[in-house]
Amino acid sequence: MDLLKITNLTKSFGNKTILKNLNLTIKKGEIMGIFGKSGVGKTTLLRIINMLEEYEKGKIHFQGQNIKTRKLELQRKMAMVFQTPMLFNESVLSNVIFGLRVRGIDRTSAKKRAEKMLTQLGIKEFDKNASELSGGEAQRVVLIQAIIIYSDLLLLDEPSANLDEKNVKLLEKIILDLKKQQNTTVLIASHDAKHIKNICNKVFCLKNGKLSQVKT
Amino acid sequence: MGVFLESLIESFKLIFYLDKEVLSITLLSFKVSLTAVILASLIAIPLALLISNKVFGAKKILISIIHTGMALPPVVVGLIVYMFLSRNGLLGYLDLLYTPKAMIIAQIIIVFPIIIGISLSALNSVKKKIRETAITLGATKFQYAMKTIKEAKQGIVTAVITAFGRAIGEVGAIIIVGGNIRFHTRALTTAIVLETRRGEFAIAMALGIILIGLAFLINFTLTHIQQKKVELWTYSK
Ligand SMILES: Nc1ncnc2c1ncn2[C@@H]1O[C@H](COP(=O)(O)OP(=O)(O)OP(=O)(O)O)[C@@H](O)[C@H]1O
Ligand SMILES: [Mg+2]
Repeated sequence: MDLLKITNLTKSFGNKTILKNLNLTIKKGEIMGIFGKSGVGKTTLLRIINMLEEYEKGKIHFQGQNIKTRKLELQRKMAMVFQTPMLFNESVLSNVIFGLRVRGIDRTSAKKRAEKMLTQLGIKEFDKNASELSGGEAQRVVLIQAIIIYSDLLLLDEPSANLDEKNVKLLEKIILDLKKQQNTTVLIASHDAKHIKNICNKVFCLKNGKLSQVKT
Repeated sequence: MGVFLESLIESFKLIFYLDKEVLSITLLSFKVSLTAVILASLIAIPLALLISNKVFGAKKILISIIHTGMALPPVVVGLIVYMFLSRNGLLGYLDLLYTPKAMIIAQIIIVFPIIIGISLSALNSVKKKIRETAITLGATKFQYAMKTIKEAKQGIVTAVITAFGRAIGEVGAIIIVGGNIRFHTRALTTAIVLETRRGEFAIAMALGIILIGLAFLINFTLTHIQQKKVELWTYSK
């Protein structure tokens, strides 16, 4: 079954149409990339899928259920990393375990999972306030915040924007591991095709409100 | 200078010997203002959250009304509450006039707009991205609300501190609805008015010192809470 199926999606802001009859199907376990120039609507598309933005026309089905407005139960099956990382004004650790804690996972096991992932990504100061992190560190922390949930669908909006080459490689490894271990489906948006072509099974270009496949 | 020194000594005496009347006055002030601030906060903070989350046409007007309410003259509040509670008033049957409850009601009305107004501006400064982060990570409505409040904690505690300061130092409203009755509705501020009028400057000044000391104590506690890291009780499914 398709994990996500979008048919004839149309979205406008005011009189400016961003997405026009867009279609997209994602199967479970796929790692899919979308690239396109700045302002074409990549973020908008990801936000619609994540139920943070409404749309006028079309149909979106996630795990067979219709997505229109926010449904907690579906929201909890996805995780999204925003383009501009924003962390809560609290420790790195508390930030990272938030998604687990709201799902009722106890602090001790959440902490254990978090510390392992943070260490893996080279962040050692768990108790530091998140506002004191560098841009690249913050980017890695928001990534962990999302992947730690082990969601069915991971939406990454420009995840490599603040990362150096070494961390980009690390990010790619993490995504591939996730796919291997959890069979997580991943959708990555980037303004540059070269950021995504390495790890994605499928790559689409977003232009004039529509997607066209460039790699299979 | 003599009066000051004399009153300083007098105040220490009053505090030291735990004068029964002074104690009752102090406790009443404390009880009335604290109750008013707590009750007002319980409604005002969630309401502020609701207003900050919603987009609606009359929002600007509502905020202007709230801001006007923050400058409400206590005497006028006292007068209005008096009219409601007096024998012929709409709520006269409740028989609340000249009781501490009447004083609490008046102070709730005074501090309510202050708490909403300042909390609202604190909540509004919590960025949309931060709120959306909580949502995308799967927070329930309640968990989301608690997270937003936590992010705005500094400003919300400032709201409570300001409200308490206003309440404990307020005299115009409580003197009208409380009546300044000895051992019943006499508070620090209303006692100061009385003693000053009587020419008992030393006692009046002593009460003033106690008032300031009490305010300091409360502010110190609240500031401690403000600066403390808190793990809010948000995490039950
Ligand atoms: N809330 C909004 N209100 C009005 N216009 C919006 C809103 N959000 C996005 N837009 C507009 O929609 C268009 C698409 O924005 P979007 O953020 O999806 O682009 P993007 O492809 O992610 O760009 P970038 O690569 O720069 O991140 C832009 O022209 C943007 O100005
Ligand atoms: Mg974008």
